[in-house]
Formats: sequence, C-alpha cells, structure tokens
Amino acid sequence: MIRNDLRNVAIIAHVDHGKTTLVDQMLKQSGTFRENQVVEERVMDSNALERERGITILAKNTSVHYHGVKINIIDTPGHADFGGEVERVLKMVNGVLLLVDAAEGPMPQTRFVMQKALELNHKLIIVVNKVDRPDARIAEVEDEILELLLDLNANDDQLESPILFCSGRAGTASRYADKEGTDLTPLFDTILNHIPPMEADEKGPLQILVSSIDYNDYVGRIGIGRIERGTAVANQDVVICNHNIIDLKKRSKLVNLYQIEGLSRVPVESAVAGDIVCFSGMEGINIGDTVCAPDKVEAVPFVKISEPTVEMTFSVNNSPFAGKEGKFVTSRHLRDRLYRELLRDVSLKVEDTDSAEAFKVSGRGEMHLSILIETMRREGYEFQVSTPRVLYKTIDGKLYEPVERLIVDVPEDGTGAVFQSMGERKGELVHMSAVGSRMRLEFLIPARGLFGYKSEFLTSTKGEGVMNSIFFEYQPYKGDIRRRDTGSLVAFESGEAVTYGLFNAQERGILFIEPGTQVYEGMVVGVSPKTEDINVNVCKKKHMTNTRAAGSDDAMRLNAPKKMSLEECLEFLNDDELLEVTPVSLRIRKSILDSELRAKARAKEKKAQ
Amino acid sequence: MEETKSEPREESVLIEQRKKIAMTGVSAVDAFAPRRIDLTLEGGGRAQITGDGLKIVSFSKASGNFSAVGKIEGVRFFGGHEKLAKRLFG
Repeated sequence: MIRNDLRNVAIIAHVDHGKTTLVDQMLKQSGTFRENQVVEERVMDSNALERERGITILAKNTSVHYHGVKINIIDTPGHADFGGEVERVLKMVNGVLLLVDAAEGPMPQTRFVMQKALELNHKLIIVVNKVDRPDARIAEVEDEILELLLDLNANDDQLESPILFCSGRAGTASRYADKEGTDLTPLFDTILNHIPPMEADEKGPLQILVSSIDYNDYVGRIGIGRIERGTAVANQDVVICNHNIIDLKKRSKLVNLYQIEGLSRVPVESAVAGDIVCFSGMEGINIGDTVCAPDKVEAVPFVKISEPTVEMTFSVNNSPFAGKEGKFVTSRHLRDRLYRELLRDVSLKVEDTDSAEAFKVSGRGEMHLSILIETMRREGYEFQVSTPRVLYKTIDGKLYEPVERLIVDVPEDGTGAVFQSMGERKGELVHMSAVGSRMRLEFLIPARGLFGYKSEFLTSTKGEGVMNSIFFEYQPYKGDIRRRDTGSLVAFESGEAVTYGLFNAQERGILFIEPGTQVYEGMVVGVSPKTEDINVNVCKKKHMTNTRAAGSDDAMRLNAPKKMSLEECLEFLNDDELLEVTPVSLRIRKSILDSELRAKARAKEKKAQ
Repeated sequence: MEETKSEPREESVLIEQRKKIAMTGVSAVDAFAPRRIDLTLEGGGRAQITGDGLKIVSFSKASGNFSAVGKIEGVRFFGGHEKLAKRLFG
C-alpha cells in the first residue's frame, strides 16, 4: 500500500538559520493553529545552550496537514558529536528539507548531516531562507549549496533538487529568487510532489524501529520510531528484539501509543505502517531495538550506536569552598542525575568507581561531555571533573586509540599554522581544496590530539577558522602527543586576592582572577609560560610600616585577567588538576591541595620514572 | 567511511611555467611552508618541492593528486625510484 496520505521529512538546518520560525509559519498556514493563537512552546525552538553553542542538541518533531496529507517534520541534531543520532533520525524519513541562511550560506555543521542524507539516497528540497535579509547574497549561496552537493558526491537527481526562496518571518516561499512569494504554498506543494510517499505493508506482522528516545517522569521512557510494517494497537502484546543483540527477545506490552499532531503527542488507538509513533510502557526500551508482533520476531538492521571515545571522572566537590554555591552537592544527587541522563542519552556511559564519591562518565567527545556539565551546572549541581581522557582498546594485543576526522575551513593565510599544529598533534592530511576564498583541510587525527586545540586554532586563525570533528575509527596508537607545555600559577595561601599580591604574581604569568577573588591553597590562579608549576601568594598584603622613597607607591597596574570558558578550562586541565564546577563559578585546582604533599608526590613520581 | 588503501599508483610530475606543479601518486603531505613542501609518495620515498610563496591548492589522499602554486625552484626525490629521480633532476 502506498501511503499517499503521509510524508515524512527531516529538516536540516544550522541553529539560527530559521527552522523554528519557518515551521511555526507552516503550522499556522496549514491551519494547525488559529491565526491569533500564540504558539507557547515552539517545539523547534532551541534552548539557551543550543543558541550559545550554535548547535541543535535535542531532536524534536512536529506535524502539519496540507490538502489531506499529513507531513511529519523531524528535526535533526546539528552536531555530529553525538554520533549515530543523525543516521537514526534520517532513517525515519523519505526526504530532507535543507534550510540555509541566505546571508551565511551552508555551515560546516550542516555538511555532516547532509552527507548522511545523501548516502541514504534521500530526496532533497533546498530552502534558501531569510531572503528578506538586507545582506542576503542569494546567488552566491545557491552556488555554495551546489558546491557542497558536488563535494559530497550527490547523484544527478539530488543535484537537480528543487530550490525555493523563503522568508520564514514573512511566511512566504517562491520558486524564483527575484520574485517574492505570497505564502508557503510553493513549499507545501514541493514537499507533496517531490518527496515520495512511503510504500508500506500495513497487513503484515508489526515491526517498529526505535530511532529516538525521550523521557518524562510520568510515563518513563518513551520510544519514538516509524512503523516499518503492520499495524500497532494500544495495549498490544509485543516482543522487543535488536539486530545487534541476538539473544534479546523480551516480552512486553505497548501500553500507550501516541502520534504527533502539531506540537503535541496525541494518544491514538492504532497506527499503521509509515506512521511515526511514540510509545511508552516498555522498561529499558533503547535506540536500535525493534518492537515486533510476538508471532514474527524479526529485528530491523540498524546503525549501531557508536561507542564513547572520551571519559572524565565526575566527583563530589571536596574543595575548601564546597557547598557554598550549589543546590545539589551530595554523592547521591550526583549519581542520580548522571544515571537519569542515561535514560535520555544513549551515547553516554556512567560507571561507579571504587569510591562512592566518584563516577566514570564516557561520551562521544569533549563537547558531548561539556554540554552535560553545562546543563547540570545550570540545574544547580556542584561537582568536580577530571581532565578528559581517551578510551583505548586492545585489538590482537596491540593498543588502539580513537581517531577523529577533523574538517577545518580557514582563510588562505591560515593553512600554514594549521599544518604546524597538526604536525605536532599527529594529524594526517587526507584532503585539501579551495572553497571560495577559503581553504578546506581534512585531517585524520587522534582524539587525544584535539584536546586543547580549539582555542589554539581560533587564535592562529584570528577567530576566522571553523572546525568540526566526528569520530572516524580506532587506529593503532600514534605515540606521545604534547599535552600542555605551560605550567600553572598555584595559590599557596587561602584568603582574598589583593592587588599587591596579584601585581607580584602577574610577573610570573597570565592571571585568571582579579582583586577581591576568594582563593584557597592549591587553587590555580594563572598560567605560567614555563612547564613547571609556580606557587604564588596572591593574598600578600603591603605592610604599612615600611618607609619607602617617594613615588615608589605609584598605582600598581594589573593586566586584565584571562576569563576562561568551560571548554577552555577543560582544555587547560593537566593530569594532576581538577575543575571545580558550580552554578556560579569555575575554579581549576590541583588534585593535591597542600603544596608540600604535592611536592612530595611529584618527587616520588620522578623517582618512579 | 573507511579510507581505502589503494595500490600505489603511477607517479607523475607536471610543472607549468615554474608557477604551478601537479603531481600524482602522493600519499601524504608531511610538511608545508611557503619555501618548502615535503611529500610522501605512494611508490615509496619522498619528494621535496622548494621555491618561494608556495601554496597548496589541493590534495586528496584518496586519489593521490596534489597541486600547488608559487615560484617553483626545484623538486628533489629521496628514496623510492632512485633512477627516475637521477634522470629528471640530477
């Protein structure tokens, strides 16, 4: 049976390229909402963290009705760091809307998602959005999109994809760049005509492929997926199996069945092949599982969830300032929050350690874990994290490490510096070409080599470079990579930092703090150009009793302190340092706070080497 | 996507007006600076391009094609096909 009453479409767009606004207009113009209805929770809206990072983290879905056809619009996470999530979402659809800002053009982040869509041979509709922008460069962006498609080996059909010129804000679409549209009808018609309806067997035994997971406190885990075959009925007995886990055959019940209508999940009694459904009531349902009819247990082949490649230790904050700024500070709080995250994020792994106060958290890269840290921090959690470490593997007795594919877009004069850094970090050039006036370089580099590179990259390309990495494969160990050739300025007295103390300390390096900051012994207050750590006393006051020559008391000028973001702090951490994370502040500290104990430990370590 | 290790392909060097150089059979770009570019060749051995204002225009490990522009002063080969190097550039 051909589902002419249904189209499943994924929308690919860099954050801020107008996805939310355009989908809102599609909802309004398709009659899902009354004209004056305020759309409270705009499902495609990005949360603050996504907007700051410029990436889409949470995949969201919505649906509209047009001329009797239901169009499911599935969002795609913009960042490839959560590995496998993009392919899973794209498997639910038959076509893709590529949204590109008419001024910014296609961003490298959209490249990864586009690559997956083209590999799956999806039909493509190109939407040049925000054509009403004064700085729109429509013709150039059109060329850049075609260059991107050629770069990604698009087939002839994909190269001939229809292209529409839209203004999400005005709610207009047009087939011609120089002719303004009146409404979104051309967009709806193109979706109906260009995206093929799914061929589905709704009489066969049930088969639902779980492509996404959500969670809420009332019904627990919610599976989201497309019905590949058969008909699903609420309260139906089913069996859960998995293509990659042969012996998984678990009997369960499809308690609640929902479909997406506009912005909400509406309970339904049944749904047929082709429909995208949400369902709950199945404990431990996971991405990649197949929900089958008991009489025909047959798993759908699936993109294996890529394993984590980077690990960090999350532990209870035991610094002298512990408990002052966070709401949730205990080991129980931390453990519950981390394990709850597993319910929603299948790329994450959490393990208990032999200490009840520390947990090993593994993820798909430094950014994946830093987003988790930032999210927990904003929820009021206070904890400590160690420096990121890669997860090695031993294959046939040989040590293997995770290698990433790094793509950088830089101005022409920035290639030399990138080459220099890549040489030191064991990066191997696999592709290089000009893209407009810029150069695009592609490297295969050990994940270890990327730690701390982002800030170095932005400095060397004067902020104009764009970099993106995705896990490639495990390869034999590539040897030592210089982690950090600078030392830390470590406070050796607790108290309040004063100008006099800071003035002396700034001669030894760049400071992270300003006068009035509370410090404790063992807290890192700056970076020193030498490789060794230097103990400094930033609380040292000027004794009033001394007599001084006139003029020697001129104002002490302090250099501006370097403010470090969460990523910069994580990149800065040495193996013997921890990052204290609270909702208010980020403090780097030595694992051993006492300077004498630290010196002894280092001496012992040197002796052991 | 696995990078396939293809059989070492034919090596060729084309220099136009001493301003543009195109090579095939290149497996890696080892170092790059405005006055020198070091390459590893699929057939074994290495090549070194010297000149001034050198800029890499394109390289693809998958196809082995490499091209650069600038003032080309010389190309030297080390190891690999000894005789070819001697005849071409002494």
